[in-house]
Amino acid sequence: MNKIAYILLILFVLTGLFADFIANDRPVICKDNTGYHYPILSNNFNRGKDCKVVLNPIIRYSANSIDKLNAGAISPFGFQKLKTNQQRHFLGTDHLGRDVLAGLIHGTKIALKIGTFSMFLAFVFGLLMSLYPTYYGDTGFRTKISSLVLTLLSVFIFIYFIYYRESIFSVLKQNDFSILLVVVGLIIFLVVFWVLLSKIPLLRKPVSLPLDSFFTTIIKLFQSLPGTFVVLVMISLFKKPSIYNIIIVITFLKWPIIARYIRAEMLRIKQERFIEASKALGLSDNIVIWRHALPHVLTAVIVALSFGFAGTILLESTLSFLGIGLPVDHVSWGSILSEARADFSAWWLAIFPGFAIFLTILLFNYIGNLISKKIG
Amino acid sequence: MLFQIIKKILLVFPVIFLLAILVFFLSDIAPGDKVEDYLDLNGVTIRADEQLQKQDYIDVAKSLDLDLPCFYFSITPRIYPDTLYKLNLYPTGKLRKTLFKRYPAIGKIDSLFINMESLLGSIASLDDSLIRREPYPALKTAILTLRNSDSPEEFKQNFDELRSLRKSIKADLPVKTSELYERIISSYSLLVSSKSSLAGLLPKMSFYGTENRFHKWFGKVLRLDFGISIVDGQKVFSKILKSLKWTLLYILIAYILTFAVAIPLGIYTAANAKKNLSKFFNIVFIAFHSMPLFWLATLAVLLFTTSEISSALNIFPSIGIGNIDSDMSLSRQLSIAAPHLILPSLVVAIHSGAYLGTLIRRNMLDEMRKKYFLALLSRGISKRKVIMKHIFPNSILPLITLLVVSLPASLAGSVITEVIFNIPGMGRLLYDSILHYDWNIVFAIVLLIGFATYMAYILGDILYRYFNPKIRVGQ
Repeated sequence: MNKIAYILLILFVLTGLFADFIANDRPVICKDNTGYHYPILSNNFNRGKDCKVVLNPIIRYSANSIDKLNAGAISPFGFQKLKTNQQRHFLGTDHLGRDVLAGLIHGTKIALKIGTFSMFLAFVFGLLMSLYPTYYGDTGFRTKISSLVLTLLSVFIFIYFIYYRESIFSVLKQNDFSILLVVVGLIIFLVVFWVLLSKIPLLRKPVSLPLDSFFTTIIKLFQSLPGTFVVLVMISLFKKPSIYNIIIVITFLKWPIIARYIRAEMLRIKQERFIEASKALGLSDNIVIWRHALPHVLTAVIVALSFGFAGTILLESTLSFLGIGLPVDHVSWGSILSEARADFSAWWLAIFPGFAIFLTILLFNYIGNLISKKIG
Repeated sequence: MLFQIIKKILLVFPVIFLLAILVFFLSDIAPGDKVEDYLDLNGVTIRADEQLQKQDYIDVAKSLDLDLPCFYFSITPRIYPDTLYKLNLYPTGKLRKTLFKRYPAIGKIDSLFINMESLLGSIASLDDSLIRREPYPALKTAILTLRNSDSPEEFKQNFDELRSLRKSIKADLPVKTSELYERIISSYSLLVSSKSSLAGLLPKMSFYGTENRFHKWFGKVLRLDFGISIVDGQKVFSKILKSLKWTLLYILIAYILTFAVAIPLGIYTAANAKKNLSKFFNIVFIAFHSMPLFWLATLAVLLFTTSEISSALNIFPSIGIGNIDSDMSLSRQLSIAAPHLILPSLVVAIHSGAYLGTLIRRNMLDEMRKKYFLALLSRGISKRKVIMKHIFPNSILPLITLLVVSLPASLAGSVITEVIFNIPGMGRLLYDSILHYDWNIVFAIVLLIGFATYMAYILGDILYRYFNPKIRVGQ
């Protein structure tokens, strides 16, 4: 069982990575009197050229290539008008005459892309939001009120600059030295402000910030968001559909899961002797966190990433099933499945992409369970 | 305990306020032009007279409070004029604002646009026979495309096109028109070369008091007035209420079915963990839970409502909720729709029941590993009694909050089921509104669901405290 899971995982990744080489309407290698050509690598390959095909891809259709002869949803077992038997649509065609198998392979690419990128971003974000707060806890982080005020002021200035960046840049561009002037002015202002603040005895008192409860509340808040609903509303706020919008939205929704895993693991590791020992040796907090605690956290995060990947694929396919978010020319598992709704007689449009989603979700949940059992 | 609950209930007000602020600013950045949507809804076609059409736009914009500032206060650079928000009144307002961000000189932008308007006006005032002759149509389209550009880059590009017309038209234009044309060209180059001082970048805070858009909007929202739908002009709240009826109905059936499926199976698989039958149920749980809901629903529709696969399985009525007129009595409507709602409820019940079943099973198994289970058994109490009286209540306790909280989420989250089964419920309404950019409905639903989720949290918390003996007795 485990072996099958690993084989399927490798197959999923390889199919996603080499989707364009497995299913493409351009030949891999062809030969004419000037030598060998690799039309698969160039988008503007002219078929009219006198180029003898040496090697074809396994599936001779791209996800978007329309086979006009077999348009109107032809069954995999039905009669297909073909020149050679290798051009058969093994899983049938959809209403426009696009090959379902090629669509599935292209869908693997999209699923892998969205899953990997959004999980990576969610991981980075979750790490930032949970590593330090958990390490310091509610009482561990002590700072002076004056530096707190200074930090808030810098955050305000940063947001101000980001929000009005266009106006600010257009003014700064008018003069050669104005950027330098503004930067130096800001630094002088902040330093003077800080010096003045630290003169006030009341603000020199150290306070402990309840970092942990603050960030835990944020994580809980995000986790209580109703997933499908928030994704739908957020995606619709973007002006143009794009794969990157989906990645951003899914990251926004999925980072709390990763953050919670990291938090739970960090809480455990914090108590371990080696952390105590490295603190006793006088190592700085940063080195303890990044060098000694992080490697132990990461092994547990893999489990969260695996479960998160499954959830990501579910969300992505749901979105493309509803026809929101992905550009129209992107064929994905969900978009093939949504075509089955228009015409229920085309069962192959419902069964195969649905099974691909099902299998992938099952696979990543299974692998997540497997790793968590191995870690113990 | 009472004190904590009261504290949580009082916290509702700031939560609503924050949620409202969030939703308000989201609705502000939502794509599309609100005023244009309302104009389309009222059926105002393009009027021949430019001036009248502009007046229409201003009227609608005023009725939407667009001539008011956005919030109680604003923090802007010093170069920003106090009345920048007044630009919302004009169709070209958005373009002027983006131009202003690039070239911070509002007076010059205004004069450029005024010149463009008067050039259009002077063309319109010409004789009909003259207007159709060549330089005029080209000039007019050039200015109209210029006015419709989205970004400063596009504006610049369109402006170059207008400038390139110069040679071809110069000779033919009457003096007044050509003067206006020259004035446009010069005011643009003035705008591009305009300079402002560095001191203008310092922030400035201005207060507007209660005469602002958010205040008025929030006041309406508190009275449950969310405006009108831009698709059919109906009141948003009544539209939501109408669709809520169907969603509530089938979600309630689905919830009851979910419990009916999940609780017995969860208890059975946990109590007889070693039996083959419960191992089989385990696999079924995992399979149904890993199946995406939309696939399950599509397959169910394919199998049970059409005879494409086999006509023997075509036992449910077709999708939709049957022929229902809005003037029928409620009981009549329900009796027509009920048979149509069975299959969607079943699908939802199987999907969420599989998840709930696994949760119950896992919690029960965890509970059975504790020592009190062994102690009770060794006292000679039957296993059945121990499980039903001690293990099951303890294991379902952590699920109470989850169940209560998931109810509001499932009201709007039922998009997929309602789209596939063609039920005119909340999810379907949300989906259609998103496709039509009907933001009033979308954000009304967001607000209501957000509020309901928070209330459900409080309710779940109260229930948890009530049913948990550790908290109840401990006090």
